[in-house]
Amino acid sequence: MLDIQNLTITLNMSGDPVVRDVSLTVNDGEALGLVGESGSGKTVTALTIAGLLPRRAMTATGEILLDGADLLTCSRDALRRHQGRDIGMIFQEPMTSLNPLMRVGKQVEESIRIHTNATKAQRRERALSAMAAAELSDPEAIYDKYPHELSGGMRQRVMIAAAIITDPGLLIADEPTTALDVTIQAQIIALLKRINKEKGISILFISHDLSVVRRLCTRVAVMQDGRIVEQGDVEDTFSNPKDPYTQKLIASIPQRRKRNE
Amino acid sequence: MRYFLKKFAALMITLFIVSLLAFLAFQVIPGDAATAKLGTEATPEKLEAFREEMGLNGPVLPRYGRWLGDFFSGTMGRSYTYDMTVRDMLGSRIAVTGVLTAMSFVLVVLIAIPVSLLSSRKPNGIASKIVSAVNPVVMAVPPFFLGILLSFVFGLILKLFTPGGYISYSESVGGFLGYMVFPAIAIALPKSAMTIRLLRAAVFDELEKDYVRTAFSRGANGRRVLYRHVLRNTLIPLITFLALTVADIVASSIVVEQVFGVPGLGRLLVSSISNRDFPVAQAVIVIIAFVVIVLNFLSDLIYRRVDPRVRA
Amino acid sequence: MKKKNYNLIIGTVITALMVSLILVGMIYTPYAPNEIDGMNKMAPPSVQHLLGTDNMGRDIFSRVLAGAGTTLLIAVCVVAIGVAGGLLLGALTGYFGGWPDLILMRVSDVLTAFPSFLLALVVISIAGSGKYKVIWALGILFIPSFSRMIRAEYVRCRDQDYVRSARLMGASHPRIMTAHILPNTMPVLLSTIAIGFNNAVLAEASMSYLGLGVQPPDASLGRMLAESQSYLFGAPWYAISTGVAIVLLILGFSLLGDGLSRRRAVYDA
Repeated sequence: MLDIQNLTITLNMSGDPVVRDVSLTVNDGEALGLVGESGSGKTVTALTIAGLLPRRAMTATGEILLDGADLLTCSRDALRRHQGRDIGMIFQEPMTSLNPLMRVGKQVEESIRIHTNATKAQRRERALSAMAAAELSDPEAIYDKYPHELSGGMRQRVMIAAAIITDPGLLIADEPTTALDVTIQAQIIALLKRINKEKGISILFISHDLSVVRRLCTRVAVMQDGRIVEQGDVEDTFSNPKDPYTQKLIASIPQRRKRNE
Repeated sequence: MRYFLKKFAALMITLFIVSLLAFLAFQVIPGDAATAKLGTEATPEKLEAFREEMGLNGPVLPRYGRWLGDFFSGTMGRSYTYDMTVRDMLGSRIAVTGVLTAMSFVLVVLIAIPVSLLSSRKPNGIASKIVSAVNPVVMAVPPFFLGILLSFVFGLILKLFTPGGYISYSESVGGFLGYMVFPAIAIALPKSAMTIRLLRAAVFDELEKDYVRTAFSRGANGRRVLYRHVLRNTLIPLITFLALTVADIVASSIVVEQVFGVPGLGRLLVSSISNRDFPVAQAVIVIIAFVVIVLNFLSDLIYRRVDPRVRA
Repeated sequence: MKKKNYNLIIGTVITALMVSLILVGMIYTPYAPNEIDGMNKMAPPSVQHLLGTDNMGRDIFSRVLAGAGTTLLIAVCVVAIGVAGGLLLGALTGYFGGWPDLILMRVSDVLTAFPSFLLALVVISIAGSGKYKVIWALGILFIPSFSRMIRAEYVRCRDQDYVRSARLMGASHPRIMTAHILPNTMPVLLSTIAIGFNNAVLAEASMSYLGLGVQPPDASLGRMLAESQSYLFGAPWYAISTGVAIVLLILGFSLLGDGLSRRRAVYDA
């Protein structure tokens, strides 16, 4: 689905590359975790894949192949066609990532509105079913609400609905659970897992939280200072981390301690 | 609904207080109007007669009450300088100033909104840079100087109109409007520049926000993001600003009417102040104050309707 | 690549230029501003008379300098009064809150909707015109908007951590307000002052144009502009030079204010 080869990105504002010679692959139907601390370059990578980093603000070499199409060299129009239709994205802060003055239903429909000629009724129908797929309990009622009227967890589900409504091949999730309460976190992770399995949508899951990645993803890539230091199967990497940085990350996960009975 | 009633009550109270203050300012503080009008040489009998005639004797509150009655019933008091009721002096001036204000406002909206939107879509584009450079200069030109320049260029050189040659609408509606365009432009241009600055700043602020990034991630192009997303988020500061702008337009018209010789409220105010004709000055100020306060009230109501976050 | 703050640069240049010209003009002008030269009326700009002469043969350049000087002086006094009053009121109400704060807010709510120019006219109409009356009228009327700005800043700062630690260390309220919070309000304060100059110049020029402001023999750009209007056809340079002088004064301050407020972004956490 997604094949990145030797990606190096230098932002015009700074001197050194923030992403160095990164190669990773997300296979069809797979969930890949991209892990690293702040400044590791994982967000820049994600934004570049999603086409959200303006081309003139950076210099990028390498390839980003989405089902064969190179997102780095294609035309702006072609890139826009991929955005929303073939690539969906959800962000960390659902409150600010939604337009506060627009009803939620309309925002869910937006990709359909941009990429197809569906009628108003068709759009609404598809929005409602996407919202149901995102496990929102009463899509009809929520459709007309504004973001501030919903809870954090519901807003994130709305964002997910909006991202999957076009049945994209790839869903990029940039720290979607970091701003949520722990219980809601678990629900969203479970939801993403279900979407991955049932709809076959590949997921690129970006996080600094290894334990969350472990629950959702089958493969993981670890980034440090713009480079991928380790990549492989999740369980393998957790039990046998080869790179010292990876070892440190795993060691720093707070362990659950068994209560004394 | 409750909010509306509360605000409406506040409005009424404010209007009352303002009119009372204006009354105190013009009728009580300046001291003896009789001496001012008739001079210090006048005999005590004449002074007294004047005071009786103008109702200047007696305690303050009943005088205020009488003035209030006069104001709403018809005469609005009598001028000190001319032998006319204030009402007659106002005559058609309210309408004239009203038309000028309306024309200026329309011009501001027609100029500012398209220029702002078209120039802010590409924050680093040429249009944006030109507007950033030219805007402060236009803003710095006082409306009355602009009026003089317009008179010079369009009146004297291009001879499109005769500066000072006001045409009333009873003579010719077309001529009236054609003449009023120029003072309206003199007022509108600097105000549009201010509006453009505000609107562009608001747009640029919004473009930094997360929901814009989300819209782009769905494949929206620049135009869609601007008109369907950003615009509605900038409406709120825009509306409050436009309400303030009308008040500013009214203030500017006071001076601009002088430049073009337009017989409106502004000129009347200026001449009545020079003549120390307080009842007239007071009436004009009260009228203008009422308009400004009511406009603010209206803009507050509209603001609440537009922003769903406040409605809760 | 840091973006250059053009507003600040150009604003400073223009303001500095105008102010220095005016200051020089206070000591020396090519001709005495009121010196009449009957032989040389309505002369276009030339080497002897940089901006030409007016209807009484007076050198326009000297008059513009003198007039600009008066305007600037008035603006300085007006802003000084506004800032002094505004600081006092704003700091006290912003820092302490309570019912004086509520009253001030309501009053300034009503007042700020009102164009201060109108209020100034009211005051002038009661008190009469003239340089000092204009200064006091405008100055006092500027206090509400200044105090609003300053109050907002004090409200923003009073809950910040550095204030809390200062309290813990035993600093008194006045000390906190002056030594701790005040420096942090500088960026906003400075830009508000610049904008205040902007508005003061505009208000003074407007009032003088109407004949309600500065009276002769005091020179004033507004009055000159009013006079020049009658001679627009024969001697347009009179009106244009006077008007451009006003524009430059206003432009300089407004760019300065804009430039200064852009710098505040650096200060914000």
